[in-house]
Amino acid sequence: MTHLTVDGVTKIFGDPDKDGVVAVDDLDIDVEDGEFLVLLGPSGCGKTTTLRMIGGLETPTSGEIRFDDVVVNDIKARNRDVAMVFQDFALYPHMTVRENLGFGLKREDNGMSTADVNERVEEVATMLEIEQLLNNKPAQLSGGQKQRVALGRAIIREPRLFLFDEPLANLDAKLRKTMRTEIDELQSEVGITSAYVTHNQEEAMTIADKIAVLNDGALQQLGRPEEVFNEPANLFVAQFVGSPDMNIYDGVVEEAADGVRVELDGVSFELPSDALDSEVPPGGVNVGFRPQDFYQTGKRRADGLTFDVDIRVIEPVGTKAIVHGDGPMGDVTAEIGEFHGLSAGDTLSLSIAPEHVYLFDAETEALRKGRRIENRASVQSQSQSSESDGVEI
Amino acid sequence: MSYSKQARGSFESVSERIPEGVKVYLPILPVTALVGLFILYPIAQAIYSSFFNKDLLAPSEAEFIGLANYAEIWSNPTIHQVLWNTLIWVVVGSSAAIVLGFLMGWLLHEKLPYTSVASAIVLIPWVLPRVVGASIWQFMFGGSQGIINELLVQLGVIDEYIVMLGSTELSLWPPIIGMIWRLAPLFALLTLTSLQGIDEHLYEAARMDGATPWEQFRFITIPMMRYNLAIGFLLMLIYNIRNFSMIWVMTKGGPGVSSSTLPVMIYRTAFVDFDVGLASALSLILFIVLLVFSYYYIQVYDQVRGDV
Amino acid sequence: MAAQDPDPTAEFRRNESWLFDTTAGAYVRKTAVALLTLVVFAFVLFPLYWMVVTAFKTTAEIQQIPPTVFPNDFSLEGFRLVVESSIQAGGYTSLFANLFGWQASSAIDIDILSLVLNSLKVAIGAGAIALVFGTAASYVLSRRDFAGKNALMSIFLASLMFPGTAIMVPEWELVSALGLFNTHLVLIFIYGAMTAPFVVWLMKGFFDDFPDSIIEASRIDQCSSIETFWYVIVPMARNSLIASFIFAFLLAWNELVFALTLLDNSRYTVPPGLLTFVQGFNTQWNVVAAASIIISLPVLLGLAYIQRYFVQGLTGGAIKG
Repeated sequence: MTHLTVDGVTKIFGDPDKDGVVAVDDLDIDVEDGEFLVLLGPSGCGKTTTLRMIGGLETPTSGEIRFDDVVVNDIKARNRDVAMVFQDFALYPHMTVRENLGFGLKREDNGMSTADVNERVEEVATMLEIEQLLNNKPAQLSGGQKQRVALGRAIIREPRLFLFDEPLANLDAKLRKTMRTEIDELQSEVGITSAYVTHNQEEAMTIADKIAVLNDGALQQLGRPEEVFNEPANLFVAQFVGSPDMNIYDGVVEEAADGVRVELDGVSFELPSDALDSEVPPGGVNVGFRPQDFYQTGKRRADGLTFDVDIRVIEPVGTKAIVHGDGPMGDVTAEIGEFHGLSAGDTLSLSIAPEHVYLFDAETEALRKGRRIENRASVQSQSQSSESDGVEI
Repeated sequence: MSYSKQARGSFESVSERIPEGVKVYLPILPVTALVGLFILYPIAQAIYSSFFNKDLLAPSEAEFIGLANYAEIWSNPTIHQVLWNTLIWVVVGSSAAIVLGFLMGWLLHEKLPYTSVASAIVLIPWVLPRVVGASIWQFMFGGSQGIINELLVQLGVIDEYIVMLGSTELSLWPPIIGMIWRLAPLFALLTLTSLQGIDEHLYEAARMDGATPWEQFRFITIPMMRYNLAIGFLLMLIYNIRNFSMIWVMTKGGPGVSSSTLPVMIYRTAFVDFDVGLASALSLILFIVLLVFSYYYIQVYDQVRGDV
Repeated sequence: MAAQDPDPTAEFRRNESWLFDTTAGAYVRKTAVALLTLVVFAFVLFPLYWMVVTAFKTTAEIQQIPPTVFPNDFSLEGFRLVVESSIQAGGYTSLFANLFGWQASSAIDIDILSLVLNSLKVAIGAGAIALVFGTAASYVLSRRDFAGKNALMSIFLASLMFPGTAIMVPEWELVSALGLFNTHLVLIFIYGAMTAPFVVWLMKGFFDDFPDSIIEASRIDQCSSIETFWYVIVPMARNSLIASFIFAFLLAWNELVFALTLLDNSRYTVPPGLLTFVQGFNTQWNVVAAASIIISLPVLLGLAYIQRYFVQGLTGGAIKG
C-alpha cells in the first residue's frame, strides 16, 4: 500500500549538456494509495521510461520519486519491493511456472520456508487458474497463460507497487479484452497501487482510476478517464483520446448577443452563455466534434449546429455505423445509430448540441470549452492545473 | 532477371528424365562423396591397417599381426606416458581456457566499451595461422633470449634463465599455455554471443524480484547459457585433444616424448618411425575419443534446437 | 536526534548487501574487475604485441639479453630480408638488379611469394568446392524431408570433429593409393571435405529461415526449382555465401597437418613452409616475425568480415549471434 509521487522528474539519455535526448521532461504525477494510474501516450512519449524510473530500472536525471513520501531515487530496483509485468512477459525460460512464481519470494528476506513458498505459489496459481500448469516451462504455454504467470509473479509478493509495461500488447484482440478485465478486477481485489503503460486509449479509459497523458516527455493532462475525455486539456489529448478521432476544424469566435458565435467554413452556429463554463474571448479557435456526439437532425432536439453531409463511405459496426462524408467545413466522421436505408452518395443532415462542442485556442491549443457533464466543480480545478503543464509544448 | 528460355528448356528436360525419389539425393551426393572418401573412408582404412605390421615406405609388404599393435599400446610405457600427457593436456588446457575465456567474454559484455571491436581483437589468437601463433610462443619461451625467462627473473621466480622447451620436466607446459592462449578467445566469443542472446528483460524481472547481481548471474545467466557452455566445453576438449601444431612447432613433442600427446605420437610413429600399423592403432584411440565427444556434441546440439 | 529520526529509507535497505550496495563494496568490485581485465588481456595481447615489436627490431637487437620491451630503433630489416629472399628464391635477382640496380642478397632462404601462391591456389579451390557442394546439399536438406536426413546431418556435424590428426595416417595411405601424393589438387579435395559440412550447416540455417512466400512467388513467376535457386535464393544468400567461402578459405590457409604430410617441400603451402623456415632460422626472429605478419594479414582481413558469422559456423548454428 503505497502513495506514489513523481515530483519534477526529468530523464535525459546521453549527455545533458550536449546532444542528450530528453525522454521525460519535468513530470509531476501523484498516485493515491490503491489507485490505478495509466500512463497513456504515443510511442516515444516517455511513458515507459517513467515506469522504469518508478521501478528503479532507470535513474532520474533530476527530480524525485517518492514512495509514501520517502525518496527512493537511490534505492535499487531489487530493494524497492515493486513488481513489474513486462510486454514480452520476461518469464525465466529455464524455470518451470512454479519456479518462476516462487523466484521473487525466495529472494525476499521474509523467513518463508520452501513449503511456505510452495503453498503461496499454489494459492496464487489457483487464483489465476493456472494450477495445472505449475510444472510446465514457459515455452509450453499459450500467450494468455504466459500473461497469467507474469501476473502471478507480480502479485505473489504483495509488493508496494504493480508496474505494467504494455502487458497486453502481445495478445490477440479477444484475449486482450478478457485480460484487461482480469487485471482490473485483480487490482481492485488486492488494492495495490499500480502504474500501467499503454498506447491504447481504449484500454486506458476502461482500466484506469487516473490517466496521465504524455507527449514528447511532457505531461499533457492528469485526470480521471471521463475528465480526459470530456475536458481534454488541449488539442493533443482531445485527438489522442476517443475513437474514431475527433473532427477538428479551424474556426473564429465572435461575440454574440448571448454567448458567442462560432464561424466555420460555410457554416456558423451560436453557443449560448449557459453552455459555456468560462468566457471565450473572440479570435481563432480549433473546433472539435466527437463523432459520437452527432445525431441525425430531427431525431432529438432542434438547437445547435445543423449541416448536410454527402456520404462517401458507411462502415457498419453492429448496431451503429461510422459515416465518412463531406460537410461544408470539410471531412466529417460521425457515428450514427439508424443507418439502414442510407448508402454512399446520399445526403445526411447532422446536428450537434452546443454543450457537446469542444473549442481550443488556435495558438496555444489549450482547451477553451469542454464537453458538458453533470458534475463540474471538481473537474474545473483539475483541468486548469494540468493545462498549465501541457500547453507549453 | 536475365535468364534465357533456352537454358530453362535444358534444365527442365534433364530434370524431367530423373525420377523424383532420386532427384532429391543428387545435390547431396557431391558433399557426401567428398566427406565419405576423404574423412569417413580413412577411418575404415585406419581400422584395417591397425591389424597389420606395415611400413610406410613398403606398404605392399604388410603382414597381418592381429591385435599385436594394440598389445603394444597396452604394454609400452612410452605410449602410456603419451596418454598421460594427453590427459593432462586436455584437462588442464580445457579448464584453463574455459575459465579464462568465460572471464574474457563476460568482461567484454558487461564491463568494457567497444565490444565488437574489442572482441575482434581478442579473437586474433584463434584465427592467426596455427604455425604463427605457435612460433611466437616458441620465441617467448626461448631459453636464451626469451621474454618469459626475463619476466620470471624479474619477478624473482627463478635466478637465471632456464631451458624450458628442452627440459624433460617442463616441456609439456609451454605448449599448453600457448594452446590456452589460442582457445580462450574462442570460448570468450561463445560466451559473449550467448550473453548477448539473453533477453535484458529477464535481468530486469530478476531485479524486480530482489535478486542481487550475484543471484542474477547464478539464476539467470548461467542457466540461460547452459547449452552454449556445454557446446563450448566440448569444443575445447575436441580442439585440445586433436591439437598437433602447437606442440610440433614448439617442441616437436620432445625431448623424448615428454611433451608429446596422442596426435604428435601418431605423426612420429608414422612419419618418423614409418610404423603405419601402430600409428593406425593409435589413431583409432584418438578417433574413439573424438567419437564420444562428437556424440555428446550432437546430443547437446539437438537439445538446443528442441528447447528454444 | 539521530536516534529518533531514523533513515526513512531503512525499510527499503533491509536486503542490501555489503558487496553490492555499499561504496566500499563498489570499490572492491571495481578494483577486482580492473585487475582481472588487465591480467586477462595482457595474456591475450602481449604475444601479439611481441610479434609486431620483434618484426621491427634489428637482427642485433634480437640477440640482446635481456630482450628489449620497446625496440631501440625501428628497423624494416626483417621485412627487407623476407622480400629479398623471396626474390632470390624465385630467381628474380638479376631482373631486379637490371631494373632497379638493386642487388638482393640474402642468406635466408624463404620463398614467401611461392608459398603464398600455393596457399592461395589451394584455399580458393577448397573454398569453391565447399561452397558449391555445400550450398547445393544444404538447400535440399532444408527444403525436403527424406529417409536418413537427420543421420546425414549428424554425420556431417561429427565429421567436423575428426579431420586432421585423427586421420592423417590413413589419409596418407589413401592419397598414395590414388596416386595424388604431392599434388595441390588432393589438398583442395581434402580441405573441401573438411569445410563443406560447415557450409552445409551454416547454409541450412539460412534456408530454414528463408520465407516460403518468396519461393512461392518465384514459382508463380514460372521458375523451375533450379531457376528459383539460382536467380532468387543465391542473390539473397550473398552474405552467408561469402562468409562460408571465407571460412573454408581460412581453414585451408591455416591447415598444417595434411600440408605437411601430403606435400614435398617443393610444393609447400604457407603453414609447413613457415614451419620449415622457423626451424631453420630461429635465431633470426625478426625475419620470422615479419614473415608471420605478412602471412597473417589475409586472415585478419577475413576475420573482420566474417566475425558475426563466426560463432554460427563453429557451432553448426547452435549458437546464433
